[in-house]
Amino acid sequence: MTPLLQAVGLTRRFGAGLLARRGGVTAVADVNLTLMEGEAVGIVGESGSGKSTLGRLLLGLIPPSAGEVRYRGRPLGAALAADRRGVRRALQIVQQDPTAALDPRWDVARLVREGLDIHGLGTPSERAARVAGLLADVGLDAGFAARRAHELSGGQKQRVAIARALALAPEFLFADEPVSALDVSVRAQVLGLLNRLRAARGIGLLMVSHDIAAVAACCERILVMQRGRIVEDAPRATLLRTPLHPHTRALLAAVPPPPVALLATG
Amino acid sequence: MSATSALRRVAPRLPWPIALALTMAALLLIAALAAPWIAPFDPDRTQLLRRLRPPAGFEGAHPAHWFGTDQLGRDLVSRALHGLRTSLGIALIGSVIGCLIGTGIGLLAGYLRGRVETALMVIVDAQIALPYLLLVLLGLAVFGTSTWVVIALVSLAGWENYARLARGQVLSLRERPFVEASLALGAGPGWVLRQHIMPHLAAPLVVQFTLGLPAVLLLESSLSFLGIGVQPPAATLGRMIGEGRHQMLTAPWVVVVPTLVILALTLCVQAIGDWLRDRADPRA
Repeated sequence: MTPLLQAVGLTRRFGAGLLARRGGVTAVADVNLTLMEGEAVGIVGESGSGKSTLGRLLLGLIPPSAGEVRYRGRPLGAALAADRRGVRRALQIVQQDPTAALDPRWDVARLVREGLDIHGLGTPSERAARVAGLLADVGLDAGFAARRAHELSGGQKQRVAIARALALAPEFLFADEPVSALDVSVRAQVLGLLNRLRAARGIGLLMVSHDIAAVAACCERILVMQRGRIVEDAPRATLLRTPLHPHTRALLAAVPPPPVALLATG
Repeated sequence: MSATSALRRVAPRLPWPIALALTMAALLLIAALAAPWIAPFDPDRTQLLRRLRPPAGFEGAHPAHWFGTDQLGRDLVSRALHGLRTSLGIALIGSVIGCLIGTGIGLLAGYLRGRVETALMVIVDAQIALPYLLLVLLGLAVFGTSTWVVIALVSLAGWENYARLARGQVLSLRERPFVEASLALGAGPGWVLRQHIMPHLAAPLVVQFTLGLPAVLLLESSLSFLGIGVQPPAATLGRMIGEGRHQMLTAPWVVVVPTLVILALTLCVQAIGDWLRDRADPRA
């Protein structure tokens, strides 16, 4: 396996402008990280710990304040300048709130097809066939193609967003709290779907969540972030059994027990 | 009312005042377009023997002039139709130009940000701060009073509203997650603007247009009333009121006829605009 994405001394500050409080907020502070091809990595941490910012930096959606991202060994900025379309196709995102992530004026077929349309891939009939295939992959039947986002449930919307991200056959997927906005009852389905699709296609995954259980369901390697820094980086089993950092222990202790356990203690 | 009922059949949930307003606006638009063919007289033809005749039904009315005649014996039906045509034409063309310029500037300011935005918004603020009437007088003094100069000046009256509206919409739309997803897919600024931002802009712009049109209509009428709009003998609704005000006590119909046309037109357009705004954004 070769390194797909690397962060070297990656730092991002917000609100350091003229009118902001002096210094602003450092969302990501001097992060060093290597993500291998096809590797599934999870990041946990409280809200505001810089998880989502780190993902967006790795995708090149926001520029770093210091340090750099490397895509296949090359600085991401240079890689984008040389082959913007190729690199963009390789790195995709699934966002937190599927309602906001889908343009409300578009129907599902157009939403899923957007990447193909942007890059001008295939003839119209090939694109339609590809959309039908993607919808089937994410468990939506062909009848959904003509619907608008507001006619779908939260889980169905997130399936559409996943299909859209997979349309360009990416190498890497950044999933930013992909199930946080969903009902508890459909979270496991969407996580299972995401995991199945990415494993079958060998897509690298970076999943950010405040919910350790969601991350542990998909990722064999887990990072813990606190105030912009990675405080622990360990394989899933190691991290869950023998957490080293106090913040990791605190996060694990905060996981609510299953309802049955409440009965036993009460 | 057959047109109204036809409309109700097409859109059964249309509230009746809106159906009425739409019907009236359509009739006025048709009347304005067809004025040269449906006007019974040449609007500028003076008949000194038929001066200041009252509308049909009043004592001394002439059967050929339903709405009466003015101080030069010109037929008020014909003048009102031609005045409507000129006033509405100037207001519509001026509004469209103002809308296009303002929206373009707002889009650029909102999407490019930085110094471009600062410079463009300074121009917008300057326009808001400038006394409009002064600008109009200056424009007319420099360029004369041709119809196109009036149209240009009318378009200047509203463009800053479109610029601010468009900029605000772009600033909020560009932060929406579906725009970020589009950028992640590889979209450039042109794609995002055309596919994601401009379609969302259409509804608020249409609302702004219909809400702004009555003000522009009244503005054109005010300029004509003051004698600095389109020059005589051309009929505009404001000029008719301006010319008739000397006979307001003895021959009120000369003022009442164009006033009623302005009232009907602005009321209809305003009602349609309010309704569109409620449909587009119930929170506004």
